[in-house]
Amino acid sequence: MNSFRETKKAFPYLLPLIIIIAVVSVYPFVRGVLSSLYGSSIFGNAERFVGISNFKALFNDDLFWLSLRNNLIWVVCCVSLEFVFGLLIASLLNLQCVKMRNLFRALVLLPWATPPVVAGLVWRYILATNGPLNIILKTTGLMSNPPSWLITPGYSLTACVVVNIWLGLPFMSIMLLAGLQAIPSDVYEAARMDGANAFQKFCHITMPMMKSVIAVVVTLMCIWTFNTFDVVYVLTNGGPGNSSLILSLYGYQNVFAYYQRGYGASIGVISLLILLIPVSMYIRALLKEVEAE
Amino acid sequence: MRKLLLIVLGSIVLITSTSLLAAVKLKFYCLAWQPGAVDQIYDIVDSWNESHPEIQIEIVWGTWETSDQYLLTNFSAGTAPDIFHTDSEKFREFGLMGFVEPLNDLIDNEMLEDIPKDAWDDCTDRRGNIYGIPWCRESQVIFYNKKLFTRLGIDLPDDKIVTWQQLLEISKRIVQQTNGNTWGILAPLMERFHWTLIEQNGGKVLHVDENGRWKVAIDDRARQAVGYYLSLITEHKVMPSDVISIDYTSLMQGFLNEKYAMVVFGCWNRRLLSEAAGKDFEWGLMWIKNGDNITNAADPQGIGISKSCKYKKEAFEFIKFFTNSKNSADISYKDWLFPVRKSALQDPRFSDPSYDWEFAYKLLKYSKNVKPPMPGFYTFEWKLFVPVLEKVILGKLTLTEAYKEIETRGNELLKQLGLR
Repeated sequence: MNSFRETKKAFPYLLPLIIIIAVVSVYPFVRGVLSSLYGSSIFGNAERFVGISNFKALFNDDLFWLSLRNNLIWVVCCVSLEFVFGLLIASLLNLQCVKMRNLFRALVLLPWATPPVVAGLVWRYILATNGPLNIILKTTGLMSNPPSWLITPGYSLTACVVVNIWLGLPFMSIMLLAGLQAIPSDVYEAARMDGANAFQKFCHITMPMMKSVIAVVVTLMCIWTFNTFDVVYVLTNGGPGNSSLILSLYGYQNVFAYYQRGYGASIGVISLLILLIPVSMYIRALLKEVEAE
Repeated sequence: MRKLLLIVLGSIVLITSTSLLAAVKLKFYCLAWQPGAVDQIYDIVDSWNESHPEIQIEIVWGTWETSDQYLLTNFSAGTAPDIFHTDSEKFREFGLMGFVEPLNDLIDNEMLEDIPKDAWDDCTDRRGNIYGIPWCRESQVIFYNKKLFTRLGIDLPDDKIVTWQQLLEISKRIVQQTNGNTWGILAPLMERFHWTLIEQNGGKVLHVDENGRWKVAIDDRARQAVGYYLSLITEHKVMPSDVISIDYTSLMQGFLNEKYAMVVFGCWNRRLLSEAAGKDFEWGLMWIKNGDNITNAADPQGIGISKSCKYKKEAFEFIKFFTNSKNSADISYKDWLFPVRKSALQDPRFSDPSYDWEFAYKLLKYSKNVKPPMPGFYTFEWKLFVPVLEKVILGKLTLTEAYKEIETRGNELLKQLGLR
């Protein structure tokens, strides 16, 4: 009863926030879900209720399955490599013996300051058939006939992954660095006195004490990476032959290029359902952290 | 005296601000991007605004890559620009969706007669509703490396128009004589050279019946044309798989670096070459024919009015001014394109030999919109047709499999779009 009274008291203070969330998040979400139940013919603007037809068509659509497969490859490759390289960079930046650490930390952050579209355009130039990368590979003799990275299936998605890792690495590194710095140095000191080597310290102190930070960062990166659109759009636009098509881009194309708004919305709904898994994991990790505090 | 001066000044300020407040303000979404054309459009809009204080135009610059997204979201939100510029056939598509105002009642005879019928057709639906005013178009050309041709002893016919077979032979010679260092030709998929070839060969991919129902069926002539295009890559190996690329700058760099001896683009591309090509690089224009058929892709553009525009008459007044003979000639010239108005084409600048205007103009007679007039053509092309051709180019599908896939999945797609 007391708690209800307190909630009631708090309600007017929460109201502005509730309104903002309702307008900014809930309305677009509901609108998106409703749109997925409607379809329209190109001959008329009027939309008609089609129930779950869009979803039925989606499950029979090869391009949907291809983009879903690409999306999973995209998320797993991007996040796992970002984590590995991020941890490596964070560990190096955390070493006391490294001079000018602040300068290096600032440098690591640089890609993060680059808007993804700008980064995409710069990388498109670098990875072009006659771009600087291929010129270097040819002149150094590393590759006599380097491929056209962005227009060869098998390489196009890989090229997008590399660029996305470049963009995502700063966030991963800085968050992991923050986690590393939060580990008290006396724990390492005690381990050192007990004769633990660097690998043992990493496995038995660093990783367990970083667990909650890693869970939060990796889950967040999975959500963001899953929804990435700009990098692939600028670099390959899903091509060649849809080899680098991912769900967000396919949804966009259906809405804005193929005039199939309901169909595009149904792709969004499926993405949302898939994302509910990492989102629930993220919330659980957050709650655990709050409880621990 | 001071009082009188203050009263006069006050009155002037009041009158000016009142007239400005009362002015109709219209947003004009424009996709021109070549620097000369942008400057010219600013000048024309400024002169309109000066001479028409009651109708003020504000330009909203857009890009071709994002124009569909911009227009569709704004149409849906009811915030569309009053006047907008895009591909001619998009007016028909947006018109059928109910986003664009039919202009039949506003178009006068002078305009109707000065613009060729085929240009009107692109913006018109089956019921005769005209949704856009055709404004400018291009002729599609093959740019060739003149010095390389001379060095290799390749002679072109006097009219610089070669047959399909001759184009193949020239391309083969280039590859052989340069030991494979230079590709014969590059015709990017985004330039729709394959559609031009289909048209030159009298082929059809998309068929419509008398009830307006569409069907995908690739006839033999279309198969021959697509087969020829793809054979340049897969069989004769005179064209690289770079045709898949959408990176215009990189492709043009390849032409300037002698990676490709010939490239297919619209004649607007002359601006870049006239500025970016070094002193040692010489380019020329040529074209291809099939028998007597010299068709090339016109890629026409137009201007129309959104359904949500409150001042349609005023908007049309501006369009009339903007697309009049003089203005459309001035803008098109600076855009390295051609106006559609017959009167504007009389401008001697368009038949000047410099920068091969004369040759591009000669081809204009044979320019037509090679995109089949099916609403939803872009959906068919980019969702299905091009990706399937890409698979053939990359050796993932045979031609026979590709045709089957295009027909089967294409007809399903048309059904989904309500076209079947």
